[in-house]
Amino acid sequence: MSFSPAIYLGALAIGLGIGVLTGMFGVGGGFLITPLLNVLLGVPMPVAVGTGVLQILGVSTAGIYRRRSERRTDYKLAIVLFGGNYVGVQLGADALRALATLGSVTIWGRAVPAGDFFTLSVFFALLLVIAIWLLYDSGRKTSAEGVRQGLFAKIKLPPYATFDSLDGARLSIPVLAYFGVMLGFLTGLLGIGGGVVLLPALVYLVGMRTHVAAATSLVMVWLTSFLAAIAHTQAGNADIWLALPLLVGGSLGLQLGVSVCNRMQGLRLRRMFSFVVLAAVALVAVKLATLLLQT
Amino acid sequence: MAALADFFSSMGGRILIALVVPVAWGLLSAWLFERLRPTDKAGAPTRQGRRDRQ
Repeated sequence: MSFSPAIYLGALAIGLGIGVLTGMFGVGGGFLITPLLNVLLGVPMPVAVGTGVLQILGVSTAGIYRRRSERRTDYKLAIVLFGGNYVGVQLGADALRALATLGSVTIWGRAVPAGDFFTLSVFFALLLVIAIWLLYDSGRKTSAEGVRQGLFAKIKLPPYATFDSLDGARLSIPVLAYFGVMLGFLTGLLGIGGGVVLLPALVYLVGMRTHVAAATSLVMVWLTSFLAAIAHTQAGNADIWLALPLLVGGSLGLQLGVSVCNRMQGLRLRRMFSFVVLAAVALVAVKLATLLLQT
Repeated sequence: MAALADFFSSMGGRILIALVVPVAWGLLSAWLFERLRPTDKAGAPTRQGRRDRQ
């Protein structure tokens, strides 16, 4: 697929902006790239999803390289989650392909492109939940470090495995594997790395310490985006030429974002980030409304 | 040369490019920016350089 030079310049600007956010807030930004490529540049949803995955693969590689001297990653947990991830990514990519071939669906008597409508609706719901959670979290006085036993530890479904990063706590392998399927599905369908869902899940559901969760989630994001890059290239969704300006802009923005981050307080940062996500919710809502009104 | 072009336009070649380009760019950019970190006369990262790496 070939795009006009303006689209490539737009992708460079989006990459730069996402890179700044990654540097400032420590998230991959995959959940923003797909809607921005689709809403601002008019890139078809399946291509936006597939190309976004390539950008996440690059950003998470850089992140792992920068954290290589730390010994915080729980590889055992990452491998258990990864088992389900593989199935989830394939299911998500298949669902996206099926939506694209579905043509249009009738909503309120209007014919609406099925792929765009369903993926934007799921994005809208996901971003809204994330924004509400971030606003709630930034308003709390207690930190996530206080959480020790996650919700998953209470589910009794054998077989179990113990994890050193959880001080030897026992967790159900099937529960972790199904959670991996869900994360993989989101990556396959929406082109998000899953870090924005995985990080709070590892802290609150699994019961990890925040720093260990951040390092483990980065490895998971890399593995998931690696698989998703294969699945989306096979499906013809990943455009390497469009991914290049995203990657270049992302790297430059990242350095800028890290410098800004070091000059700001953590709480103020988290609050600012929740407003960024709210802006993305509004953007997707406008796109959904135009989709419903124009067709 | 033609065989190489054929390989990169095949599905296997396209998957290889889709995996290698982002990973290579990620490694290259992270390494490059680490090299460009502010350092003192002895070559150790300055306080700003250490903060920027975090």
